[in-house]
Amino acid sequence: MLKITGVGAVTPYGVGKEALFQGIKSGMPPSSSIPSLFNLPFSDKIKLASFDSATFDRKASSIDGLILKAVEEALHNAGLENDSLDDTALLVGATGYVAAAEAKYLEEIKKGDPRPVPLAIAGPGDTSAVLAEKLALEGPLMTVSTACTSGANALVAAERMIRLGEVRRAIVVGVELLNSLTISGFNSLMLLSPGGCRPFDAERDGIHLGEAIGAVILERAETGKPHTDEGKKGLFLCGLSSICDTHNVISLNPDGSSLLRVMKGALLAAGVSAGEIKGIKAHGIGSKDNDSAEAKAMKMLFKGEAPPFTSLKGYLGHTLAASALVETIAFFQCVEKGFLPAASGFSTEDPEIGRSPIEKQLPSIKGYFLLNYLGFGGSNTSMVLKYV
Amino acid sequence: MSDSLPVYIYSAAALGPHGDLSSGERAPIRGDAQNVDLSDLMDRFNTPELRRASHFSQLSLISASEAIRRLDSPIDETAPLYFSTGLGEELGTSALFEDVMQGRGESSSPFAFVNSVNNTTAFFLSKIAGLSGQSLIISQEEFSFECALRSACGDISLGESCHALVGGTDEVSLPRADHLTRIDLREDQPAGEGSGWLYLGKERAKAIGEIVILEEFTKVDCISSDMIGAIIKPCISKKEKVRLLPGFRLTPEEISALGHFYPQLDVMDYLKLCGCFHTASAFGLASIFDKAEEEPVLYFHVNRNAYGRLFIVGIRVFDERPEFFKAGRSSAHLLPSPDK
Amino acid sequence: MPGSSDDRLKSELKKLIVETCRKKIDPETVPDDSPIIGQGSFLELDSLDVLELSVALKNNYGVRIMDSKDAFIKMKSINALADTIRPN
Repeated sequence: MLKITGVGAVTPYGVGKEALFQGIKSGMPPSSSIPSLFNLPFSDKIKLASFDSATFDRKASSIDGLILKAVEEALHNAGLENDSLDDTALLVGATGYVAAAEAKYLEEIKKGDPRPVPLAIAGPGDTSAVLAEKLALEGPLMTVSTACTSGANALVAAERMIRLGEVRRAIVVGVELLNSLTISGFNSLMLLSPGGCRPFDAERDGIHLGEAIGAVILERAETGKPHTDEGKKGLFLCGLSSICDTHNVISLNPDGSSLLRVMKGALLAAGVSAGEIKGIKAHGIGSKDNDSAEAKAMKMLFKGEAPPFTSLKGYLGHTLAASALVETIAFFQCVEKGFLPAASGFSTEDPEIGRSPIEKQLPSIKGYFLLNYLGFGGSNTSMVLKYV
Repeated sequence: MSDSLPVYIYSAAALGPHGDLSSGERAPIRGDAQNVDLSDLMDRFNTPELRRASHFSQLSLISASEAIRRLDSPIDETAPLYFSTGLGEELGTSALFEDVMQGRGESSSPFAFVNSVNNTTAFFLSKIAGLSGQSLIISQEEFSFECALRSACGDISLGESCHALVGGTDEVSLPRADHLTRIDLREDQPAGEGSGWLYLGKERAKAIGEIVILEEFTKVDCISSDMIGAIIKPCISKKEKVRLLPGFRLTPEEISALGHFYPQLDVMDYLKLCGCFHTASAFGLASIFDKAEEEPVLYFHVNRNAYGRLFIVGIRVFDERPEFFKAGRSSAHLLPSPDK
Repeated sequence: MPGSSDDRLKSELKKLIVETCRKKIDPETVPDDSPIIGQGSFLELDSLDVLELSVALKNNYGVRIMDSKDAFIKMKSINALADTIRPN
């Protein structure tokens, strides 16, 4: 079993896990507006959850430093800020750094070039190499790019690297920065909601996009102080499962079967029964079809005895590649402080779903939790974590 | 990583920039690769969604399906997919990027956006191969394919899976000056494209080769013949040929210096067939199975990056292989498509 | 004249649909009054085709498709689509 010994985050609520926790605790979405530099003809018809200008000035040269902030916070939490990282892996989940390419493009236009080179950036792997240099990290590097499950699959790969004994620990990072290409793409797929994400709500009408960076330190539970009370307490990654479902490239299998399979896979990997799950952090994207399919899958897995479930996308928006890291961090910040967060954005039960997510913060209990992350290309990922 | 090895190879296929799938069809490229029309080769598929496949997806699909059809037995449908790419779908994405940045974002093509997502290619690949397991897309610049191989071998060794389909694809997007803002190449290096695939597992039976070295080194200032020799020599068995596949980040001086550690070393410049791209090693290491061999051959691929890291992959090609691997011909006409 | 009575418009639409959705068929063989969306329909267009067509129709004819429900009504058949573009 692996332990999450440190976390760090940069979100629209501000820099740091504490800002993230306070934001979710408040029950309110972050106050954010659409950055003026985005050249989007439809910007009055969408909502975004974006960083404020003090957090990120939208310059290409600021991106590595922003990611480093989250990583350094996680290392600090884990008590590793002065340790050597020679047997540490760095895994980054990212959809690519289009935001950097856009910033460069706009800088060139400003300099007077009417047609700069489009997408003039190195591949997604370059950022992890730059970070590794800054951190003097000598273990393996790997950038996972599986759309909205990039961060989740980076966790899957990190867990295996440690289990195989290749490295002692891993830094796992999820990065998503808003950019016009992604926003336009989701708009062309008619997936964006003008009012924002309302997960599992009868009136849900789509997603809103967000940006975030999340970082965790993953270590063998035996390292550190395994036999002390302190060593036995904390957040443990117990089991993960990831599949590619070939039903439809942009939406979840509506019968819920693929998600059911991956949730069962995560329970099996963790050696836990469905009855032991104390709560679920659903993917809860706020689109008609995906939420119905996810609700169906949860109903099939838990039969009549379903635990409470929530979605964090009403707060953070869909942070795509970063979602698995930042939502896992946000969810367990709340669990650690004694409550399960409400599904912001939800107000009216959908008769088709027949159940409501958490409407008001619930007192949390220790134990196992199930978290779902889904993405384009039929990518389905589930994980079981334990908080004690 | 050495504890996980060897991992066996049951099938391999590489698609080069001329639409070439076999050694008879391969030819040196003159200048940069030119995005050859692959629609004839796409005729082997009858999956309706593939009409939307981008050139990048097409490169991947044709090459992977060739590796699958060369398999001696049906593919294990639980096998995970490890797909690597340095730059992903570059042609359509850069065009879409320009559209959006020039203010035409509201009328941009949904197809183009979906194709710009790497997962779409992985989705198509899983679909044509009939896979239902995990798909992992790895993008680590010039080590993308090497990292995918390392993940696959690690997972096989952990018992997470019995088999794995591992490949890499990159495409060129001209003009060259634009492309070079995404990948750094010397003036004398042609920009290339292609795709290469290996199907792996843990059992020796029916294998056509084996992976014996997968080693990454950090802080390598200077690649010396002694250093490479110390890694490769223990793996060389008697009566086997040894061939070096130099990666595109090695300089001509480094390549000639490497030749000294072993007297009968052949240097195979596979890059002249495919050009330079981040996952060229996937093409190089899959295409070694094209050649007819009378005795086992140990190939090792060496590449480095700008951050002082070095990656070595060693693959032994067995002399006993199914006929169509020996014949050096495309098997396209010999076996039914997996998709039909 | 409603769009469904205009053969030239309908030919144009058939060509646009077949090309946009990259279907390997002769546009002239598409019937005027049969369903074109979904399994078992003549063109078997799927949800992604409908989205791509929505963009093409907006660019070419200024037709606005709001969501998938709207698309299914407006693109029920070639005749329905032609009438959406030109009701009378």
